[in-house]
Amino acid sequence: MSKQLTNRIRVFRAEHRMSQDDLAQAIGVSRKTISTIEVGRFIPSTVIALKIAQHFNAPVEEIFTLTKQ
Amino acid sequence: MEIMKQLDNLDPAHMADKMLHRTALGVAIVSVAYFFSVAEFLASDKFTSLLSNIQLGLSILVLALILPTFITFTIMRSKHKQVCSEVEGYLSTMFKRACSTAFQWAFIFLISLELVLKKISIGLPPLFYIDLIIAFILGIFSIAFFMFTREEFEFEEDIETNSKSDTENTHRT
Repeated sequence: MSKQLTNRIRVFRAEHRMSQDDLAQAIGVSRKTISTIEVGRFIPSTVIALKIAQHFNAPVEEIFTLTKQ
Repeated sequence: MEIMKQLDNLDPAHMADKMLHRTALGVAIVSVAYFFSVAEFLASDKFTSLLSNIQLGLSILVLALILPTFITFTIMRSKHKQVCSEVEGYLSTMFKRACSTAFQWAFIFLISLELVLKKISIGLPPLFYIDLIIAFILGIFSIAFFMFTREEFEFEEDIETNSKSDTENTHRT
């Protein structure tokens, strides 16, 4: 997991009963992008983060959190 | 027409990733071909034609590997411009990171080569050094790309299993 950023995408996906592929298609990225964001291997761009938040109809801060250093 | 229908069913983002992956693979093969070209200068005459044939085979392999995906991707991009020009995804970011790594190592290699050639005179034609530099840079790029993306394959199956179990748990509740 990235030391700078944590996320709750998997939780939101489970609540919405979505697979990674469903979410990827919904926001126009590949499934690999979603899976690497979830495990923290990849820090998404602002646009992707906002698209994810918009799709789940939640504030981006609820999905992504900066870790305290 | 049936081909166009099949293209409609393909995921454009996935095709964009596939194009990047195939490009990196093609670059790796081209790098090997250039190393064989370098070897031609050093090998004896009886091996020259063999090395040339190997290079030809590798060139055909690159075309066979990339061309179908490139054609499919180009057709899809005309329909899904926004998605296919995705510059923010994981693979495209790793691709750029690999380009940056190759660029840095290119300078290190060029400076090192210059220092060596100032001290030692090998007496080979300029084309040898050009091919060597190209082979090195392309090789570094492809190694970097596959190294940056390798852990992805370690995690992928676990993620799918966990995500499915998360969804199943949600269904049960």
